[in-house]
Amino acid sequence: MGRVWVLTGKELNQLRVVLWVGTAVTLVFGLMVPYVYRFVVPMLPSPEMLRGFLGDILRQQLASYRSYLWTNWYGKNLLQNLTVIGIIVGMGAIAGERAKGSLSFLFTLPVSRCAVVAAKAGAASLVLACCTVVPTVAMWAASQSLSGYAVASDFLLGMPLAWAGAVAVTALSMLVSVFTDDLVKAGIGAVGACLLAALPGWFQSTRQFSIFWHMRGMPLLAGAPFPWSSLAPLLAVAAVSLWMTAFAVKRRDF
Amino acid sequence: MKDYALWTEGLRKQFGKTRAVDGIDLQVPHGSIYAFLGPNGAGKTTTIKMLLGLLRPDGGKFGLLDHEGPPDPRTLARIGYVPEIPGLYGFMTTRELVDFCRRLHPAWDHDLVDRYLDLFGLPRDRKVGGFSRGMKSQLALVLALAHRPELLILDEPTTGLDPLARKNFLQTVLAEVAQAGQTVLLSTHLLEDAQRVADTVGIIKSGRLVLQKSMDEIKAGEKKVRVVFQHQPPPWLQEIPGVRGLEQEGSAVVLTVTGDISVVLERVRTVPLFALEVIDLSLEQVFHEYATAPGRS
Repeated sequence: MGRVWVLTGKELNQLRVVLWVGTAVTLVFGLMVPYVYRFVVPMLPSPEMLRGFLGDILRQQLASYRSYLWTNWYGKNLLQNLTVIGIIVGMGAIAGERAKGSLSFLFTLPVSRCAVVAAKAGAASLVLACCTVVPTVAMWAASQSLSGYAVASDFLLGMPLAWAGAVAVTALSMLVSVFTDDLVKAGIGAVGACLLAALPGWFQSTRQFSIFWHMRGMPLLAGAPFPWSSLAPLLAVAAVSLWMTAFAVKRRDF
Repeated sequence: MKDYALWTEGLRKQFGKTRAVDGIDLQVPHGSIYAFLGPNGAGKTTTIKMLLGLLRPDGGKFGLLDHEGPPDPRTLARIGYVPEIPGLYGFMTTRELVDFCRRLHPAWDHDLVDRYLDLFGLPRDRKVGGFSRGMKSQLALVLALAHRPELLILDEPTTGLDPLARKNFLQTVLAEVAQAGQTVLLSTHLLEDAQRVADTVGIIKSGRLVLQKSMDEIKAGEKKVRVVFQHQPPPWLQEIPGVRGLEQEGSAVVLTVTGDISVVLERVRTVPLFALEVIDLSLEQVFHEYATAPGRS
């Protein structure tokens, strides 16, 4: 276990730029959300005047500040940012090390390959947790203190779902990155895998099979209790992808 | 195979239709410095990568120290490895990288690290990413030696080193390693280096091991005999046991001989001669004979 911590420390050191930039960019997005509501939304035409699909969406989003915040944060900004960060972290995990030639150094250190995968996943999870928690809490606090919009603290319950979804995206990207030593190909492969994972979410009848649908935590917005049935499949996708990554890393030529 | 620190039996690896390693049987005795020689693309690095578990063999068996098959973490803790192009973490400083490796190795010799860092003149607080290739090779070597491995696997370690660093490596580092009884597998195409330090030699060509002998056996058993006959050279020269090759050099005939030379000399002296000369072969000449001469694979 001690060696996994040492490797995790190395991974965090390696991911520090992603950590700082990812957190900072997501934070900026987060802080913009309440201000957009305060200054931009009043300039929009009244949702009642809009017809069709766009009108329906706007009416749903602007029904209350809580629904606006939820759909723009968990449903859009945080989801998109975490997905991008997850892909970046995952695609570089193995393919990045191979491209730089450091994988043979890593794999000849006295650690098992499972430990290497566990450390990479652990560090990625910590980075994603930071990119989730800091901007979300900052946005929540900014909503109340700066903009004067009070949001119940159960808003913060969406964070575990967003984080678990991002970990699943990272794990999928890591699995793809085992099969190439080219970062660009790893990135394209990871995006492809995420598109496949998003596909069921585009249809009402299959949306429960989409990572991104569960990641949004919409039942929480509707006032339902914490949706463990959303968290469990996200963690399951992450666990299975990581297990497959460890399996592939043990058997691939490097 | 317990007599050997490293052994392979019929080890094979194929990439597509190319047989990179074609059934080689390496035997590296404990405490020896084994020069693993071969031209570029002969299969040296592929063999080493299989030994370290970085590539999966298509067939055959191998073992390192007392472990058979790809090394587990416990075996890796007893092995030091320097690749041809060291892929060290460029975002770390020397000090950080040393500290990272130290925390993963149960045995770590701080004094040795300090001594070798000073010997090679490596800066401790500079990012490794800014190092030249030679500096990276030196640092990789220090990291490979720092846990005093029982087996040191070096894949072209002197490539990229300046003459002084190469001398330091060969004379100081390898001498200390040999004195400590550590086993070294040294893959190189620098024959001068190999001749200086190795006590056993293996030559690989097109994925096959074409020679595996101790340096003493090579010195005693690999010769050339230059003969000037008074008349036409007899037709049975190439049939003499031990004669591997025959070349015409002006009026002389040069025989390449492996093994007991006295049999060859005895047979040749049965014919009237003007001159007979026995020439010792350098490792370079032996290498040329085995690795670059056509039809020896």
